[in-house]
Amino acid sequence: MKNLKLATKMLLLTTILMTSVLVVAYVAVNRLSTVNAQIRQLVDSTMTKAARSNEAHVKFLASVRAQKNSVLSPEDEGSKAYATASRTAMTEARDLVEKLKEMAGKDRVEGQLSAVEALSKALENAERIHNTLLDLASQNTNVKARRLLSSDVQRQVEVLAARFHTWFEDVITKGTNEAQVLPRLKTLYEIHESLLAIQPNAVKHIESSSDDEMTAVEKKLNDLQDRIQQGLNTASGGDVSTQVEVRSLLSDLKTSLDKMEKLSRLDTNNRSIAMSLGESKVAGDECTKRLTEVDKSLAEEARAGRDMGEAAYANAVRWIVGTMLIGLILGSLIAILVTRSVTRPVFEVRNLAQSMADGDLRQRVALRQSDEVGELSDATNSLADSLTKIVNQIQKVSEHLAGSATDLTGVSNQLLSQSQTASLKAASVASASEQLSSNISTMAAAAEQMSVNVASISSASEEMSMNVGTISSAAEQTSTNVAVVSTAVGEISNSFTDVLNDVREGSRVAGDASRMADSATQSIQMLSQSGTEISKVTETIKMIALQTNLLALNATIEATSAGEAGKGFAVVAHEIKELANQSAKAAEDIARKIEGVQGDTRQAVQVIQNVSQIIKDINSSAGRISASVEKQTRAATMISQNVTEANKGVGDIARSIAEVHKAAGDMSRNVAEAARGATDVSRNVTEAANAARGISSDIHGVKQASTSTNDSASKVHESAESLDQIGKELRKLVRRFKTNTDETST
Amino acid sequence: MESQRLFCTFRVDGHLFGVDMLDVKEVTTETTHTPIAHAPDEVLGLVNIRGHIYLSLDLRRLLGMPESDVTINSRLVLFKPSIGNAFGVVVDEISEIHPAEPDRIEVFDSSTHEIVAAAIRRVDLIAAVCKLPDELLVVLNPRRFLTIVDQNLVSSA
Repeated sequence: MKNLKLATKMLLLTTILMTSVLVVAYVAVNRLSTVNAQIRQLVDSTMTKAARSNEAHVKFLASVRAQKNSVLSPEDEGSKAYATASRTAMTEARDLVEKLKEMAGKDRVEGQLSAVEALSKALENAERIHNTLLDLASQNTNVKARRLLSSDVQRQVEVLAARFHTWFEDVITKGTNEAQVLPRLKTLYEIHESLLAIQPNAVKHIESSSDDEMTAVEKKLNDLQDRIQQGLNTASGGDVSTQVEVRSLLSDLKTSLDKMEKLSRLDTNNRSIAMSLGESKVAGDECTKRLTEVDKSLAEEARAGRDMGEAAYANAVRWIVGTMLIGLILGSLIAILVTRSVTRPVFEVRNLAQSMADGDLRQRVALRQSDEVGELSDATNSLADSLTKIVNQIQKVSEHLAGSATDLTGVSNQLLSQSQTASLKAASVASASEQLSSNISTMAAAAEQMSVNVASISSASEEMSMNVGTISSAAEQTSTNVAVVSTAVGEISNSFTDVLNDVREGSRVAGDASRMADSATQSIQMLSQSGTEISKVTETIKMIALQTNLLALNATIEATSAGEAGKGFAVVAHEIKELANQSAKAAEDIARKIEGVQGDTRQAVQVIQNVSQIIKDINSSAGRISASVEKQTRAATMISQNVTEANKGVGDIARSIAEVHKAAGDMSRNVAEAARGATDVSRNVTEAANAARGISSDIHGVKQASTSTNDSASKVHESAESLDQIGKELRKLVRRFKTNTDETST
Repeated sequence: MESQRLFCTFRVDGHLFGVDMLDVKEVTTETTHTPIAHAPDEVLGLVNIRGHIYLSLDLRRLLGMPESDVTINSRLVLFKPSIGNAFGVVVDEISEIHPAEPDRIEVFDSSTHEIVAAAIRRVDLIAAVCKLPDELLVVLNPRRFLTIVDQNLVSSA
């Protein structure tokens, strides 16, 4: 059952169904036709028998009617015709009953045969009586007698009466002898009376059926005739001729009466009527009774037939219903078997697909069948296997990715802290360089002032030198000028000291800046190294994302090959692919940002190197300033000394005008030198100021670079975090699938 | 209505090609192949994918395009056994899976291009052309790949 094809199972199912239907139909048709045949046979025979019986009854009744008619018919001809009809009808009835008997004998219905036989016997009896009766009826003796009576007898009686009447008249006309006449009249009257009594007695004889009565009437008739015979002599009065005539008439009458008596003696009509009312009626009643019995038996048979039909119908219904039930139960059992063998594996496969959709890939269908469902389950198993394989790979990759993301986060944290340090350091460098710049600006202002002062010294000394000839006149002026110079020189000296201090401060600041720049360079180089490491990590991530993408593509291909069942996984694969693309994009972003950071870092390194160089320049400039300022200080001290000397020697200017001249020349020379030095200082200081501004701007650049580095580092950090998040999501997504490797690993 | 078809698309020499996704078995990065002695130019060599040996063909050579080295983006597209016995083609770069509605696909019949068909023998590699919004996707018939190699072998011999 298991290894049959689905189509075969369906065919089997259909065949079972068809077979049960065919069997039920065959049984139904067979049973129904049997019932039909039985009922038809029963009904046919019963109907025929009933018809025969009825016909026999009708014939019998017709025969009885014809018999009655025959009995009642006064004429011989009519009576005979009726008798023939009655006999024919009776014979037909007999024939019908014989046929009925034959049929009843064939049918072998209990009681029926005996009833029919009884009927037949009764009918036979009835026929016998009937025939006798008909024979009698056809003779019509009473009627003939009566006719004889009314014709011959009456005529003869009338002739005799007429003769007697003649005798009366004769007596009356010839009556002379009273004695003679009176006995004659008396006798005549007596014979006349006897003659008249003959007719009623004859009628009585005809009417009578009893033998005794008839003998009595005959005797009386003979008496009457005898009395007429005896009275004739007296009545005729001796007239022999008439006496002979009357005697012949009387003998005629006697002959007629004898004939009539003989006829009347037969008394067929009355006997036939009596028989018709007696025996024949009994026989007819018997026949009717037997017929009724036969009818009853037929009705019983019909009832039995009906019962039998009902029983056969019930039997047939039981057969049909029983066969149907057995067919139904068998068909249902086999159908359930087949359905189970189809649906159970399909359900199992569905459950597997459901659990796969829920993420459980450990389930497998264990079906050992080679039909389509078995193939489906095998395909589903292999789908689950390949999905497990893919999910395991993805899991591995995502683990790897998560590890990389964690690494990246650590590195980016490091980078962030380092860039923050660098930023802090750059900020302090910037503030220091700003301080340096302001100091240098102050120094520049002082140097400017000094330059102006030196210029004024120069002009004053030139003026002094020029006016040395006219010193005497301008002694006071000189004195004043010298005082001015002295003050100025003091101021210069002071300024120089300031400058020196400032320069030293600048030098110290520059040293700080240089150290910080070095430190920044170091930080930035570490940053650069971190960037390179991040680049490596992002490369790995890109590789992983690429692989994940490929896996997702293959998963999509597998899912599409699986058709409808793989649709759910196709969506998952698509999401994995999207995540992989996002990972790749994030890694790309990180790489790009790291590239930016690297560029910025390189720029920062360049700038810091510039700054370092400038600071070195500043340092050297400051050294030079310091040296020249010291020289100036020395010169100024010398000027101061000279001025003091001049101041001292002003009193004896005249005395030592040459000395003054020389001193003035010296001074002029010194002042020129100072002026040159001051210009140098000024130039140097300006240069320093420029350098400091440059530093300041560079430092700003550094600061900006470090800020952008910081930003980039933050973004890297964010990207790393989002990557970490993606890695976690990917892992979570993959964890949804429970695979066997999960079990072994946990 | 016919359901939409899915195409596994890839780029060769910058042009977009594709094959029906149901024909594809797998896409892999494994492109290091072992050369076969006296093999035709189109055959790059044998590749070991998880223990199974596949024949690796150069789709550039099959399509008559200039040769190029295998790059990091190169992929090996393996076909199902129903397409041909254990073989795959190397493409420059794998693209996406493009779903395409049937009304966007036009079957490419080389007989309607007699002039070019005479000149370009490999035109029968093209199964259909699919109109994508910004470019044309040339759908290849992977069943012809091995046949083309055989033909070339015969014609060169």
